[in-house]
Amino acid sequence: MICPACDHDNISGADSCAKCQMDLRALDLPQGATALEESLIHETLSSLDPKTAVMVEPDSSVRDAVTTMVDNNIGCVLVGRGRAVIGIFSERDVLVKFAGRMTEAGDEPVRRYMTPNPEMLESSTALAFGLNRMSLGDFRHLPITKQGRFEGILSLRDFLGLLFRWYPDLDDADGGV
Amino acid sequence: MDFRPYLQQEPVRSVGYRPTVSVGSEATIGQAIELMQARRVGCLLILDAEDGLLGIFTERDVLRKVVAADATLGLEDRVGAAMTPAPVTVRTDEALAVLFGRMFRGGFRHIPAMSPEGRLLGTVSIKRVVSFLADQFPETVYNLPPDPERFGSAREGA
Repeated sequence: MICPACDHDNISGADSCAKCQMDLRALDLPQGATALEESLIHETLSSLDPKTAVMVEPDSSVRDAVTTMVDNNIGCVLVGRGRAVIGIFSERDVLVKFAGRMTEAGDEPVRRYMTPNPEMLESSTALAFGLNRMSLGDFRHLPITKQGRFEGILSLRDFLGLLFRWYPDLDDADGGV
Repeated sequence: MDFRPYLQQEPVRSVGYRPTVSVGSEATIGQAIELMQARRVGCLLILDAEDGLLGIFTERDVLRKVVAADATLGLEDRVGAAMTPAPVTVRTDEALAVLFGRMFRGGFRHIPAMSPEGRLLGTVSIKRVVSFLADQFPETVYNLPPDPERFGSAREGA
C-alpha cells in the first residue's frame, strides 16, 4: 500500500502512513477494476439527473392523483406537502388496491392507498449504492433528497440508462424486431 | 475489462425471463385485472386462439385506458380492446445489448421473450435487468458505503 504523499510502502490495510502519517483509509475502498466501476463508486445519484417529481396533497382524492399521473405521463406521484414526503402512490397501487372499483374509491383520500414512508437517498449518494438499493429493495422509483429536502425522483430506467451513457452505441447492431 | 463486448455477445437467456402469464383477447378487462392481482404481475400477454402473441396489457394500460377520468373502457369490455397490440419482442438468442436498447429506447418495463424458433416463452422485466446489472459488479455494488468520498478526508479527532 503505497502512500500517495511520500511513496512509503506501508503494510496492507494500514490506517495511516508509517512514515508521514497521511490518512490512508480512502485507499481501502473497493477499487473499481474498470472505468465503469470507477464511475459507479465515484459518481453520485445527482449525475443521473433526477426528474422533477409531481407531488399531491395527502387529502387529494385518488381520482385526482390518477389524473395527475395520466396528464404528466408518469408512473407515480409523491404524496406530501412542500418538501416533506409522506408516501408514494404508483400505478402498482392503482392496480393492486382498487383498479376494479374506481367508482367507489375515487373520492377517497390518496393517503389511504399510498405506500407510506418510501425509502429516499441523498443526491450525494454513490451510484453503486443507489443501484444496490434499487436491486435489493425491489423498487421502481427512488425519491432523491438534497440535504434532507426532497429534490426529485429516479426510476429503474434511469439506472438502465447508465449503460447508454457509458456506451452510446451499445445496441448499434440491433436491426430491429 | 471492457463490459461492452460482453453485453454484445451474451444472450438474453442469461438474464432470464418470467414464464408467460396470459389471457385470451376475449377475456374481459375485469378478468385480466383479477389475474394480474392474483399472480402479482405488472403485465399480461394477450394470446390468440393458436397461442400466438397479440398484445401486452400492462399496469399503464389499466391506469390510462380503464381507470383514468376520460377512460372509455370498462371492466366488462374485452381486454383485446385495451391491450397494446404487437409489442416489441426479443429472442433469447439475441444479445443483451439488443434487449437493453429496446427496453431503454422504447421506455418499456416488460418485453416478451421468444425462443429462437419464435415461440413465446415469457417476459423480461426492467427490474430483472437492473438487478442483473447490479450483480455484474458485486464487489462494487454490495460493499460500498453510501458516501465513499467522506472517508479519509479528516482524521478522527483532528
